[in-house]
Order: sequence, then structure tokens, then C-alpha cells
Amino acid sequence: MVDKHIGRTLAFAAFLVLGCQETGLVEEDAGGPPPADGAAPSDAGAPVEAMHSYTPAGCGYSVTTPPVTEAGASEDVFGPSPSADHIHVSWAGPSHSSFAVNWRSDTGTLASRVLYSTDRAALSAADGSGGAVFEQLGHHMLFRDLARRTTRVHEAHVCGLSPSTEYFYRLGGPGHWSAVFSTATAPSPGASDAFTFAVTGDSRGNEEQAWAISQRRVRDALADFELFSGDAVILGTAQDQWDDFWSADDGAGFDVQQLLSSTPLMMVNGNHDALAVNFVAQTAFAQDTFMNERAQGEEWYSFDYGNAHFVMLDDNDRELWGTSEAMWLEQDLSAAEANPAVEWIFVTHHRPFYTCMSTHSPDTSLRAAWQEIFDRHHVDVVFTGHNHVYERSRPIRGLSGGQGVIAAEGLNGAPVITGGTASGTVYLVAAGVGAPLYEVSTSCATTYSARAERTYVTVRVNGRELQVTVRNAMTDSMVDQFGWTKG
Amino acid sequence: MSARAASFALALMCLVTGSSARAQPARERALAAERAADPAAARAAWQAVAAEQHGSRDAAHARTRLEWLAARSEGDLAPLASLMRYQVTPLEERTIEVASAFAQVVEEMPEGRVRVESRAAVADDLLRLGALSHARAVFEAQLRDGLAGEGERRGARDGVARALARGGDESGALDYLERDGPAAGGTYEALRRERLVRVSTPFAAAALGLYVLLSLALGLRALARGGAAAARAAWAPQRAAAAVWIALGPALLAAWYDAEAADTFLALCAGTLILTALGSIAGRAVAGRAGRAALSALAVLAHLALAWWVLLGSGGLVSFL
Ligand SMILES: [Fe+2]
Repeated sequence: MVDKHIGRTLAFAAFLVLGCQETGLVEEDAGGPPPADGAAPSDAGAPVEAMHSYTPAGCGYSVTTPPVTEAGASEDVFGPSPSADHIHVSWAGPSHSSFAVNWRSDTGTLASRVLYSTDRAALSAADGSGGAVFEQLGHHMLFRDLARRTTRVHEAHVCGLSPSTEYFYRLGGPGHWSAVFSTATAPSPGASDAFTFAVTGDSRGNEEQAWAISQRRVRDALADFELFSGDAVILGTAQDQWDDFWSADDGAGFDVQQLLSSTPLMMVNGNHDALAVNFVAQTAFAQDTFMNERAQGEEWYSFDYGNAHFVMLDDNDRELWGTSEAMWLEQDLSAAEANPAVEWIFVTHHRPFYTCMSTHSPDTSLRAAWQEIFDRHHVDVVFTGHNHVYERSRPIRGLSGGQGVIAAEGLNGAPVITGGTASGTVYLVAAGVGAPLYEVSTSCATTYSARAERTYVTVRVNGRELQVTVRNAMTDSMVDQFGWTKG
Repeated sequence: MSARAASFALALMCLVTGSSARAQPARERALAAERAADPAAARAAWQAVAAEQHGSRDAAHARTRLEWLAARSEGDLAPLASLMRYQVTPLEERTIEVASAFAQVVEEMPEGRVRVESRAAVADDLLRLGALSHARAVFEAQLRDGLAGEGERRGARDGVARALARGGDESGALDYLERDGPAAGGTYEALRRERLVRVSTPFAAAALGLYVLLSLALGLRALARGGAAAARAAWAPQRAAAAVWIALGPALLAAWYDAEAADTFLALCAGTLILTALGSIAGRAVAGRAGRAALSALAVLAHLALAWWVLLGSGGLVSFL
């Protein structure tokens, strides 16, 4: 529990020295008036603060930047070395018809365009839209980190795409296009096409290059997308750590961009990430702003992929998790349960509320706030991190005196399925692709298995069948495997 | 819908479902072959996916997998097949016998990526299972392999050190890692942390024990001499209130800010209050600047020792040291 305080103490010190806006600790009031485009006029000496809000062409949603030093629409202005790096994709709109891409450039470059096509050759030859090649305009942001170093990042949202299709794309602007990257859209909503997603977390510190190695394994495991359970960096306001996160390499020719430029990375906020402006500006998730939600609505969100619903929660906001976030969760899961296209529900957040004798004890107040909602809507699996170990709970449904009630258990710790519904929710802690390993125990009644190993998880969903495979990120050997079929 | 439109729609449907019906089995065949640790069958199936599903997400996957297989195709994929079989063996079935047998297979593998990756997998299991000298031999073979990358070499060096430490030779492990210049990394940090904890714990215990005994003895003497008046003077209400506030303030802040940290702060606060209360009464029995300075110095050491213990107990030191 002390490790988090390093981050918090440093961030707090920074807060005292630099003021809230510079650290990203304080977001704007999400319920406030719509921000004006471009940089706000600044008084001499006062920090410049800008936000930019727009609806990307063809997308049915609007995008708002966090308050940063500069923000604006793409302009064809190029700095001395405008090439894009830190390229990574995610979904802020429907996964079957859109993708969002974030990247970094030198601070002078404002061009934030995406050229995209299903025709790789046509795209390689193009310097603009035409024929099979299309173009989308994004936005750029300049922010300062804890060390007052400035970083220019870009973001664009591409919409109106076909399901289950690979799209090739290039970033930049006329005369300055990046190499060709590609990403793929999800199957149509409710389609029972099989898919695979990966789960990792707690890369902070990147010990043993475990972050890059895990990402190489995720690529080789053919994950269609990846969930990240928080704590990407030690100090969320330190941009050099984010730079490492987006560009880490395994020392053998693989860098994480090779995966993240094609495989959407869906992240939750960890206590170390601190919802810093760096985190918010460099990622794009659904901006479904709910009462008091921070980060322009990206603090928590959900998305669908095929026949599964994914809920991504922030458990660092003590003021909100039992109030507005719980209300949102209830609404979101009710809608998911009522949606005939949804067979599976997966939740990701950072701090486990089932974990055994590890560094952080289970967060019982979080358990009290959320488990009843998970139970009522039959969440299948919950992924967490924070304790840098691997742990799987027995199926759990219900609380008795604040303790989880162990539900009927089938083969190998899987829940029993009755009438298509699982007897309980399985809670996983699977994190530590870079953070120092902790110890863990199997002595708690709710724990099915536990290992102090750096793991990455892959989950195969094939219609009504689920298979979870847990492997050691360093050796790729099997650590755990389980699953079930919903009748 | 006109007959022509209907037949066109039908033709389109046949085309769409027909092509996915053809490609779906190829993809499933490839994945099944991967699960069955049959890389040759997987390669043939991925080639079929790549050819049939041009432009789809499956095609992208097929390309990734074909590149992966090509980089590990030495010995006609036979070494890869045995590595894949080993890696999917459940953890509890990877016993010393199984791991030792596979280690034998690995040393007979032809030079290549598979042999390097196999060593990393089997050596880690040998180490976990306590076959320390065998694990060390495999890690050392890895270090001699020219095809091992920088990361794999570092992993092997860490492995040798972990084998030494598990065998009780902690300083030998640290020396080994420091041999080629400044060492770093998770294993090195963990070993140094263990040594620091082991070396420092007796000193912390001695400082705390000495201070508690000495201040108890001095405190009793002060009480014997001054009686209730001495206690009232040492623990005057304002002083006590200030001490409680200084000690409990952080605990309250912690409880408000992060319930998880509250236990640590409460332990620190309670311990600090007790040590301070002991010191203030003991101080009344010590005359002269030198004596009071010595008692104060010992009190500072005792507080540090207490903090050290509480932090160790909280587990949080793992990120500090
Ligand atoms: Fe954490």
C-alpha cells in the first residue's frame, strides 16, 4: 500500500508546486458549459488552458479534449521532424464500425489526418483521399507534464466502417504520411463469430522488459483487442514513463507499437495513472459523460465486441464509485442484460476485491459498492490488477456479512451453468507485466488458484463457449486454464 | 423485389456465406492445430486462411502466425512441436521428471529460436521445482548460445543468480550479477532488498528493544521519585493532546484518503505515541545535557526502527527499496 503513495506523494508535491492543472490531478467540471475551440486567451503569467470539442465526420458522437496547453483541429502545419510515433488504436465508438487512433509527433506539427483504405497498395501510393482511399481529420493537443516538458499528441476517429474488415491507415498530412499500419473492426453486434482478447496490467516500471514481452505474446496469440487493468506507469504525470510505455521494446526487434497500432488497447485508470492529463490526452475511449464523471466521460465506459459486453471502471474515485459510478454501472449492465445480442459480460477495474494475503488486501468497500450489481446482472468474469500476481477466485455470488458467498462449482473451479446462467462470477487478478512481483496465497476460502508470476491472459469467446488461458509472460508456459459453456 | 434482384441477392449471399464457410474451417483448423501443438498443420491452415480471406482480420492474423512459424521452423518444425507441447502442459503436471526429460530434448535441438525459447521455459520450471543445479546448467547453456537475444541473456543471468540465492548463496548471487558492471533489474533489486531486510532487522530489533527497556527503567525511576506529579508533568494535557493530534492526524487523513492505507498509519501512530510517551517520562529521570541527548538519539533510532517494521509489514517496501 505504500507504493501507491510514492506516486500520490509525488503527485501531491507537484500539485503544491505547480498547481492542479499542470499535474492533471484536477479535471474540469464535466457538467460545465461546452468549451470553446482553440486556445483560450491567457492573462500574462497565467497557465494557458485550451480545450477542443468537435464531431468527427461520419461519427455519431462528439469528442472533447482534456484541458491542455493547446488544442485544436488538424492544420497542415509541420514541424522539423513530423513523423508519427507512439501509434495506438482503441474504440471510442462502435467496435464494428469505427476506430480511434492516437499518436505523437514533434511539438511543431499540427497535422492530424488519417488516410485509410481496405486496399493496402492504393493507400501506399496515395497522398490524399480518392478512389479507394478515404481521409479523416482529427485533432492535436499540446500538454506539459510534471517536468514542464511539452508533448504534442494527435487523435483521430474513423467511423462508418464495415464489420470484420481489416483497414490499412497512414497518419500525418500531405507530403508527410507515416508508414502503413492496419487494424480490424469487430464482427457485427451479436454475431457469434469466435474472437480472442487479451488482458494485462501493472506494466509500471517495466522490469525485465516484461511489458514489451507480454505485448509480443499478445500479438502472437492473435488477440483481437486487449484490456489493460491499470497502472501503466509509476507516476501518471511523468511523460517520460508514458513515452516508455508506448515505445517499449523487447530487445529483439519487437516494439509495442507493432501490436498497439493494430490491436485496440482498452484501459482503465490505475491509482498510479491518477487519471493524469497525460493518460487522458493519449487515449481515446467512449466519452459517455455521466453525473460528475471526470476525464470528459472517459473515466469509465463500456463497449461491445461480437456477443460480449465489456465494462471498464475507475475504482480510484472514492467519492464517485458508490454513487454516480454505481448508478451508471447499474444502468449500463441493465441495458446489456436486456440486449439479446449480449451473451457475455466482462468487467475490468484496477483494485481487486477478492485477493488473498498479497500486498494489498481486498477492497471491501468497493466490494460492498459493486458486487451486488455484478451479481444481479450476472457478470461472467472480472479482471483486476494492483496486486502484481495471478489469482483466480472460485465462482462467487452474493455477500454474507461482507464476505463473498462461494457459488456452486463445476469442473476445475468453473461456475455451474443452469438455464444459460453461471452460478457465480469469477474474479481474476492478473497483473505484473513490469511492476515488481508480490507474494500471494491460496489459503483464502474464495481463492481457487494463485501464483506469484508475471502473466498475460487470453480469453477465447466462441459463441456460448468461453476459454481463459493464463500464461507466464516470460516463458509462455501455461499457468492456468479454465472455461465453461453456457448451455 | 424483382426476380433479377432476388437472384442477384441470392448469388451475393452464396458468395458471402460460401467464402466464409470455406475460410471459417481453415481458421478453426489452424487454431485447433495450434492447440494440438501441431505447427506443420497450423502452417498449412494459416496459408489457406491468408489466401482465402484477403483483407479480413483473419488474414491479418494468418500473416502474424505465418511469420511467427517461419521464425521457428528449424528441424522441420519438430522442435517447435515439442516446445508447444511442453508449454501447454498444465503447471501441476510439469513435474521435475517432465521438466528434466524436456531439458534433455532441448539440448538435442538444432540451433535456433526454438532452442533458446525452450531453455527459458524449462529452466524456469526447474528453478521453481527446486532442481537448482540443473536449472543453473540450462541458464548457463543459454548464455553460451549465440542466438539468445539481449533480453534472453539477461533472463539467463537472472536465472543463475536466482538459483544461487535459492541455494542459500545470496551474496554469491549478487556478486554474480555485479560481475559485469552495474547490475539492475527486478531480480537484482529483489535480492538486494532481501539482503537489506535480513541485515537490518537485528539492528532495528536491538534499537527498539534497548530504547523500550531503558525508557521503561528510567520512567519507573522518575515515577518512584516524583510520583503522580512527574506523570502529570510528563503527560500534561496540552502535550498529550498535541502528541495525539500529531500521531492521529495522518491516520485520519489516510483513512479519509485511502482506507487501504489506514492500517499502516494506525500502526505507525500507535507505536509513535507509545514510544513518545515512554521517552517523555524517561527524560525526567535523566539529568544533564549529555544524558538527555543520548536518550533522544536512541529515541530517534527507535522511531526509525518502528517505521521500518511497519513498512515491512505493510509490504509496501517492495517498491521503495
Ligand atoms: Fe495499483
